[in-house]
Amino acid sequence: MLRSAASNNFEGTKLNASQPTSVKPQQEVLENQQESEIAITKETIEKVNSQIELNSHGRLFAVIHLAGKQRRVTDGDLIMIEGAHPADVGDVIRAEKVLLLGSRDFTLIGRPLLRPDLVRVEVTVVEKSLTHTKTVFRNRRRKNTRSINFCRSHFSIMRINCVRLEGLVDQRPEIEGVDGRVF
Amino acid sequence: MSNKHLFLPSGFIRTPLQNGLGRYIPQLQRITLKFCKNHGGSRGVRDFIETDLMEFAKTNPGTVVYLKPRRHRYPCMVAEYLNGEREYLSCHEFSRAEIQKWLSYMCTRSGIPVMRFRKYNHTDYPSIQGVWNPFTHQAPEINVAQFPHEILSKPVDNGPTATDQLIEIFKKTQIKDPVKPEH
Amino acid sequence: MLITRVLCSRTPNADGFWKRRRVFKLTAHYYGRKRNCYSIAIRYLHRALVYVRKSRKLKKRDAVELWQQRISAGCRELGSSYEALVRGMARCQIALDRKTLANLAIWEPRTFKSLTHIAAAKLQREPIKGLNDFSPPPAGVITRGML
Repeated sequence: MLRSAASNNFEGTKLNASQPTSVKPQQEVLENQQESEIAITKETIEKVNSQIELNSHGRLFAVIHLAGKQRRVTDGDLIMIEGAHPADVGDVIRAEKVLLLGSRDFTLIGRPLLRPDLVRVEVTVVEKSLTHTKTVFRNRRRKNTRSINFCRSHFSIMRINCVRLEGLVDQRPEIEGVDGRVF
Repeated sequence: MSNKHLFLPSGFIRTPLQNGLGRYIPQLQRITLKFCKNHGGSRGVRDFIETDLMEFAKTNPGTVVYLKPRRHRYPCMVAEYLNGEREYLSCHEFSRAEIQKWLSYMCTRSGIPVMRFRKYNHTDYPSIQGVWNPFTHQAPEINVAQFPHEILSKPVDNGPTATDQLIEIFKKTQIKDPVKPEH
Repeated sequence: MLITRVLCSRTPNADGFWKRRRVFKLTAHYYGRKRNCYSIAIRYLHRALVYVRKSRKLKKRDAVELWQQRISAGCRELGSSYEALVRGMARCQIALDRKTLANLAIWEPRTFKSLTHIAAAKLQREPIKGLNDFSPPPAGVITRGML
């Protein structure tokens, strides 16, 4: 159900134990990991993995962080990005900041991001244009002070091409974060 | 009747012909540059034609460029798009850089008329797990419960009634008879 | 034609017509004299244009308020609270914003439910004063000490 990035508790206790005991050591009582809990976890992860392998999870949605905003997207969505964006029209971008990936039966939550080799979200820039003319009118009442400006800002429209699971949950590759990179 | 649409049409983001699914198709079909060979107002257009036009035509093979010298007329550009829309822009006294900028604007547009967007995203599949309704998080026993029910028929708010509260306040405000000191 | 200085100042400016026409185009949908009398129309137009500028910011503020309302309503239904969700999530390093959470609460209720449960489980491990009133404690959250 929940795939967490790292555990700090175990390391934390070890560090505390090795510190000199001039100060009263901060002790932390760890709960016993129940056998049943481990069994349930294993079963859940297996179920999720089998759905991924058989591609039976159905449509996926993802929450991506793109151009400073979080957006919930699925295949074939259109999203609008306010402001100038460096990508040219027709470019295919890979959205690497995936915060959450959900389906009918399971949700993978990133802390804060999901591994880049687990999820793939691809985006095509479809249109780059200017918004309608916005009137910026300032008026100070009874002061005979007013100014008027007109503004059209950039925006681009993007099409989500795919939201796809590319790896299995709980199985990490030996080297992470180098997939598809050019050094 | 509301007539706000007189000034600024509003709508939702869309792309013509599902552009971007599969691949991106440039939407600009034809662009016509009208200019005068003598007038100073067309100077930027003439500069552009002399220096950058061939480059522009090479980088945009899907676009037909027409040049129309028109004696003693203001220069203008007319863009025609795949969806049948056309857009006119007066280029009077534009510099070469401005012409380049507006030409790239025309190139990257989709041809849909400028409007105010009511939403910045569009999805055909707003929900994957099913939309929330008042029974989503309820226990399913309600479906088969027989009413009147022992628990379900009781009011949810089990706090003291207003009468009880008033009695409580009254009791608190009661002052006990002070014990007379005996001399 | 020679006109005196007084008359000259009275002659309407040639551009005045266009100036007024520009205003009347924008007040065409008003009712009464503010549509056709320039001196009245311009007052109302100025006021309307100022509202346009100001309401661009208000719209965003209203949206944030609406998201908060939606999230807190969703949380309360599940026995949690907005504060508990936001602070529990922050402690779990889940960086979803209010817009997304409000969206999830409506359109993806199961994901939202699991998020509230995770936040509550985190708060039970590391309680914050006044916030660990999630009752009853969320069942079925298995953390393996990793939360």
